[in-house]
Amino acid sequence: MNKIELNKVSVIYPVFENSKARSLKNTLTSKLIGGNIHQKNNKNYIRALDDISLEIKQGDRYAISGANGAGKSTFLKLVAGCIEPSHGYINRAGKISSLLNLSMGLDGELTALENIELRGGLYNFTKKEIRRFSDDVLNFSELEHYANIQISQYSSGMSLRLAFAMSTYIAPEILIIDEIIAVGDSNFQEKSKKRIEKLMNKNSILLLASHSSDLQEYYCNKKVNFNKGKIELSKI
Amino acid sequence: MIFFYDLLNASKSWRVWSSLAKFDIIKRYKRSFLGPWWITLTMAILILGIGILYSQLFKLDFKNYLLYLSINFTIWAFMRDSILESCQTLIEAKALLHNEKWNILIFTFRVIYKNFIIFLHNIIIFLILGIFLIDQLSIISVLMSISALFFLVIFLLPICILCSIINTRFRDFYMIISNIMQLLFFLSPILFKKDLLLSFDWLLYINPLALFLLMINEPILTNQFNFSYLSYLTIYFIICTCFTAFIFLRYKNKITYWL
Repeated sequence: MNKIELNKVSVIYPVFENSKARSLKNTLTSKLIGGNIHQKNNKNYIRALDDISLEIKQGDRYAISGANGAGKSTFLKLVAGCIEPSHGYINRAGKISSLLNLSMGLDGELTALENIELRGGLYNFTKKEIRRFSDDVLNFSELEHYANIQISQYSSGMSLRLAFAMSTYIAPEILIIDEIIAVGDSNFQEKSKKRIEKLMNKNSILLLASHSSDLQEYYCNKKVNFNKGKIELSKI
Repeated sequence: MIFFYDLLNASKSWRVWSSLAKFDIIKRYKRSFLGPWWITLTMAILILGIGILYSQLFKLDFKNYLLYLSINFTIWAFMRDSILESCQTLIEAKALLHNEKWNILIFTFRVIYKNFIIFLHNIIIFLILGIFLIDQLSIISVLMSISALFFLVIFLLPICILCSIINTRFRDFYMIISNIMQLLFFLSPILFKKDLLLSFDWLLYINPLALFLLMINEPILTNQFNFSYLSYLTIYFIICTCFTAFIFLRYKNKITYWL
């Protein structure tokens, strides 16, 4: 059964605002000379998530809301597994996929076909699976005629269409979306909206960060509001 | 144990690191006339240039010296580039690491595999020279050299993992390592033969990279295999692996915070 359990989770980012904290020489000398004082006192931290406990069960479709810098993105990164908690414990059960950054690994120097092959490699696909993946992506993004052109020569709309088609190919059990992204011209926007809806219906847990209350009401059945790293559960 | 489990899992994801490495090379030589064969040509010019000058300086037989240089330079470039590039590998993969959960060891495999492909392009020079210049060669010597090369690849894994973790936290580590590598280049028997070291031959035994050069080139060039190199390297390997496993376990979860 798919679920995500967070038990008293905090995420604290260290801030390397000056190059001193990044310097091996400075760290070693301050340790040798008995320093460490300025390190401890001068080091800045950001407490992005503060003592959060939450249980997300199968069938839950959470809307994530909150002001900028309230901890939404950190929460999504934490659930996606990009970061581990500084304190507390998180248990993730299920295949997780995130649409946090559509352009993940997209390389302007490579053609669309090469980019598709590279992404297929990242998904650990076999050659046969890559061929199927490639057909689907080119067909959906309507870029068949531009498959052998470097994507640095694409318009921004075209490369977003390619990125969108690649990122939404796999239907995961737990889906994490940072804002619903409708890309391209009006025709393609309709198409991409349908594809993402299909994806959201297939998975058993959805986490959707969005500022639009219409979208939240439409897609979600629970809501969690972030405020300065803390959460409040509320009804849709 | 978690370290070895992660290592095993990363090696199983060979499709991921091999395609990353493949496109690293494709990207670098894209739209150039010779493509990846530029690697071979650059190395050939370097070997020829240095070969002509140093064979005169050291008063050595030009043909044999060329053979000696070609194998040493190829192995050295493989070791140096794997270690130096591994320092940057996690930083360069930031966009991927911030998007989903990754086994970070995959990125070390990527660097070593990429440099191994480059090594295969470079070793062609030695093979061509060898066909004309090596008189007698036993299969056992070739197998000894290949096994030593295989051990080198395994040995590079913990070293490169360690470098990638340290440099992600301390960004001046790369500069330190590139200076050390430059120093080691002159201290290792790459340009000169090890006999010239005389009473300084202990320098070989404190430098695992030099031992690897000897362990790979001696069977094929002189039909000798010195088991003391292997025993020293095994000790270095065990120490390095344990230390890397310790650092990995301790800081594994902090690495994405440092990016």
